[in-house]
Amino acid sequence: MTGRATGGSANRSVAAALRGPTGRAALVAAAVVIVLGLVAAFGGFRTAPPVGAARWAPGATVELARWQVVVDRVELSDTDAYGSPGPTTLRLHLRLTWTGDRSTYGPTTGLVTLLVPGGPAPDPQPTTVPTAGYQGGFDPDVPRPLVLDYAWPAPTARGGKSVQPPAPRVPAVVQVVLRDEYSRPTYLDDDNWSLTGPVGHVSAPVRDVRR
Amino acid sequence: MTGARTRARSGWVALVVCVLLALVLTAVTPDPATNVRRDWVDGRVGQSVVEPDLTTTVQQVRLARSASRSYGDPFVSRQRLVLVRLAVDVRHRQRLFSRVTLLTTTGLSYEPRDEFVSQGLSTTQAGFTRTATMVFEVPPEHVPGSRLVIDADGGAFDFYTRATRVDLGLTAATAIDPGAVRVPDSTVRVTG
Amino acid sequence: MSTRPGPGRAPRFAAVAGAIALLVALATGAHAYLALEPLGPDATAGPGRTVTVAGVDYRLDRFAVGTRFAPDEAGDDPVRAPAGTEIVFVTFTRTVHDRRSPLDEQFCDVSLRAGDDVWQTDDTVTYRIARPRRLTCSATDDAPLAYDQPARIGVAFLVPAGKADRAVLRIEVDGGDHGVELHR
Repeated sequence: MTGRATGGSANRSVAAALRGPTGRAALVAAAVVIVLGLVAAFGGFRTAPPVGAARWAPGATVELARWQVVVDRVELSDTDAYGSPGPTTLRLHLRLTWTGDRSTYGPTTGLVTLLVPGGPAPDPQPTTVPTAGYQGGFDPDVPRPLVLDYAWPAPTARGGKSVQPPAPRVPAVVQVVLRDEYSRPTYLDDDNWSLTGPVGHVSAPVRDVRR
Repeated sequence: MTGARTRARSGWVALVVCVLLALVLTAVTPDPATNVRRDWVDGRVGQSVVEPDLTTTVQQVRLARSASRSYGDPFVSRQRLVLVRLAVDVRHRQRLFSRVTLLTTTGLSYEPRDEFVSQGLSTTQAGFTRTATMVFEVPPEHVPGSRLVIDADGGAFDFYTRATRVDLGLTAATAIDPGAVRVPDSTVRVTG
Repeated sequence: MSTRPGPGRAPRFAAVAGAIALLVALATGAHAYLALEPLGPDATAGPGRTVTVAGVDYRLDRFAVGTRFAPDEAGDDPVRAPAGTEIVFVTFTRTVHDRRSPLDEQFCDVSLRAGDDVWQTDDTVTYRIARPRRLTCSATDDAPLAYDQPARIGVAFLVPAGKADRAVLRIEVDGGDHGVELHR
């Protein structure tokens, strides 16, 4: 009888303590720790891989929200589209199919990016190489080639001029990183889309086609 | 006392009803950006389609796999090239023809190929007629039933206005030109 | 003694409020609609006369209509109007006096009007024809503007033959808020 009474009164004093201000603060702190612990346990704090989690092979069709992307090949080139001498570039050959409803100018900047493992980094702004007679935009459900030239290594500004450092060696592979898009309607624009983080990449061998 | 409370409650009810009405209207009204209202003027190949400031006559429609200009290599496609030759009579004020598209029965909208910009419709002044060829690249399954749409140029405000729609008479049985179709540059002359 | 309106007067107040709201909407809409097409220019002038609009003087120097004009480059062929058309070549002088009007923000919308018809300048003819250095009201690197200094501008139009007989040059500034018409 006495034990039960003691146990009952001990429970009551714990409950009373928890109802107090210090007790409430302790409860909140405990909840935060538990939540953080769960997030960590499920990998929520792990750094997102800069190349995305998915892996595709060259030639595979990657299905994105509004694009189908095929990475055909990557070349190391030192001529321009017409065969004249030009800067050293990593030339990325893609086949794209736009699956939107209306013709569009081209893939959003950042949908496709190029990484060179171990560096140096290529110029983040590629130039488009006219291919197969195409100079305009992309039409719904029409697959067509897109060739992008990334100056590599990236030119640096030296004394007011743009100078390209010499290419160190031919990289064995480069990583073509793909991002996706998600619909983000705004008050003024129903058809507004934003880029996600990297969803995956294609490791493509580099073919040296320099003169 | 009771009267004041009843009036206050009916005031709140009226407010809630108005807000709900506004919500419902906002939800069901089509988004003006993507569902612009048009007073369509419809027509067929060979017919003069008349708007107050524009008359459009589609003279010929061809399907091809390649098309050439007066310079450069032919443009070769693995889809279908829809070539629409037309004459437009512009009245009263210049037309930019910046919103000319091919609309499919599947709801897709194709812009004319930039590779043929010198052959297509461009800015035309009042009192002049331009003859041009618009070239579209369309997958074969989307070709039948397509229509040419000449929309208002558009300005700061997109308001209810007339626009032209022409049935191009394309079916699954429409023959495809075997070779490269020669596309001439667009020309302008005084109307009439 | 209640100061609130009784139930009988509420519908009347609602009706009056509704009418005021409609009037305001009408006025706002009419203003926006009229802004799309200004009712008329602030001033009109014939050859040699100067008018002042929004702190800027305008004077018509030349209003020529023809099918053949001298080229800008010596040795080039004369500039000819294609069959069935006429060239309308207008030169005017613009002098900015109002110091509150920035010299690097001088924009004019120039058009030729005859009845219901409106024409924009023809770039090809304008470039080829013998004319003043300025094609627009705006300052350029090699043709800057200065207060109280006259700036001579030349523009050319290509119109169907016969349409230029009653044509006027309209110069709109401030996004269409002010306008001048210069006529033969």
